Amino acid sequence: MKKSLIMLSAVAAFSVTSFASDMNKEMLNQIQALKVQIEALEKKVAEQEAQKPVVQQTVVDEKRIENIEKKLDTVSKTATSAKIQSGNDNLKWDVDFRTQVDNIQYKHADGSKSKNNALMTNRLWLGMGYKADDNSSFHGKLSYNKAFGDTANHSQSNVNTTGYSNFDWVTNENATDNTIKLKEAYWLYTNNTFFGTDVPWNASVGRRPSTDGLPINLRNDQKANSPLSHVVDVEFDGFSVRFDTELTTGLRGSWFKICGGRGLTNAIPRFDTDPDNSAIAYAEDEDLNVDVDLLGIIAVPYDDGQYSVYTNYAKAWNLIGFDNTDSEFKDVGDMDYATILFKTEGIGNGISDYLDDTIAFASFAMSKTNPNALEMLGSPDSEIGTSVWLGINAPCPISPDDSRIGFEWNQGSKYWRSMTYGEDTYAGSKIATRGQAWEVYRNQKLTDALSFGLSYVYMDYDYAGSNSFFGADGDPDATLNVVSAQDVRAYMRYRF
Amino acid sequence: MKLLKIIMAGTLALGIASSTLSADAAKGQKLFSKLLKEPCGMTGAKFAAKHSQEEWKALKASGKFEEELIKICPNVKAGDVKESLQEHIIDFSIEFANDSGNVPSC
Repeated sequence: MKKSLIMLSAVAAFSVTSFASDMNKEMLNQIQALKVQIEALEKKVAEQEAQKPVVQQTVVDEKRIENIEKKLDTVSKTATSAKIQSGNDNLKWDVDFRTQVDNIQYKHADGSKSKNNALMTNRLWLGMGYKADDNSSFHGKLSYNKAFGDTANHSQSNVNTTGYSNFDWVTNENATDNTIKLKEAYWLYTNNTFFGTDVPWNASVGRRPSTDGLPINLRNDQKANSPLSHVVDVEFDGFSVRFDTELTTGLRGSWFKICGGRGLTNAIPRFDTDPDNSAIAYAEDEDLNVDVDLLGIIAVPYDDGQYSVYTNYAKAWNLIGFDNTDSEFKDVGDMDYATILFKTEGIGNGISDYLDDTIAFASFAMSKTNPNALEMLGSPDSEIGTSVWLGINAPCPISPDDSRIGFEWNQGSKYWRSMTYGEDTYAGSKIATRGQAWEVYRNQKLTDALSFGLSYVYMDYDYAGSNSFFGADGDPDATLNVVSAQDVRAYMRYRF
Repeated sequence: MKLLKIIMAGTLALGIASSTLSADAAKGQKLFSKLLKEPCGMTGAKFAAKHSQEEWKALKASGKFEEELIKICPNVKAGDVKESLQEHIIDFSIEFANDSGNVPSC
């Protein structure tokens, strides 16, 4: 029994041992397989680690960065202050230089023609501005406008000299005189309150910007100057006071401006050759035309930035008429002017970008003479003249981003008399036309500074004296000599 | 007359050769008057003087002009001024920034 038990135990032990051995073998195989897998994984991880960029750990010095930021902020503020000072602490100049060629044709009543196929001119405006503080600024403009070369017979020189010291070929090389032309010079005071009231206002005195006002500025491709150009487009010395009434009246964009000035000063010059006058320099000369004065008001009852209405009333005293018997100007009487202008900056709202960028205007003006014994415009009676002016200014369809086209039409009645002698048209003022005038133009921006323009103006006269003064020279019943005039002009302009 | 004909012919060439100039300060001034004068309660000149030229340029570059516009004029809402029109107003603002030295006339 013992022997059999020992035998059985031995067999069992052997079998267990052999089973354990099989198990170990199996486990060993599995461990080997796992080891291979771990090695493969390690290799893969090592490869991935090798591909990763090396991240350099930098020690961030928060305080140092804070100090640098503070310093940068201080430097930036200092630089801005310096720029403000340097930008505002000097006279700021701008330049507007235009070279133009005009083809001018006049047709006479007898069928003959007068013409200039190519009148070439250079015009230079040197503008200046200086804002001394928040309330006061100065503006000025020096001007030069001359045809190419000297003039025929040296007859239209700017300086009366004996001989030819001012001949154009050498005018800047010869010692002549110290003349310089001043187109504008005025100071401007602005304030947000008028004696404590909620009325922003400004006042200005000097040689004011009284040419190229609204709406002639559209055709001239420039910002509108002070007056409405339907009745006033001349250089003028005077004053203006403007009050913005939007806050007090509730009428959007409303304002009014009182303008006045002197268009002619009667004063005996110093060292006058007349022995009777030599000792009374700057006293009034009783034998000559008295002072010509003008006073007016421009009122804008509504302007929302798109739709606007401008009105104007002005009175001019002691206006000049040319007396052929004495060959001098004489005081012939006074004149009243009135204008109403409607303007839209954009047609409709959001219909199209093109219409949003289209400007249209309609202007109606009236002139009324108040003659003295010398008569005005050839009539002893008070005569009323009227004028209508319509215009449109829109982007040019072929290049809407940089050029604009426009069309204007105006018609003046028999006794229409505007004060638009300063209008920028070499064939005479189109606005002064007693008859019909129309103009088509295109202005194009070429670079930030250069622009190019082309225009055609046609004036068809129904009555004589469209471009004359206020006396018998402006008589519409006189013989009509020039029945039509046209001016084709092309220009290159540099502005910066 | 020949000279004028040459100039007339040159017009077309110039029309083709000219570069496109999209932004316009003068147009910006008009747009400010039309769209922003009332909600901002200030003139364009005053608005432009809120920043220096560099600051306006930075706002233009970062595309944050509208954000700044709303900050200055709380009555203005996002989208009130089309993006295409904003560029003109930015150009006007740069032109009359507080360090520009440019003087608005009367």
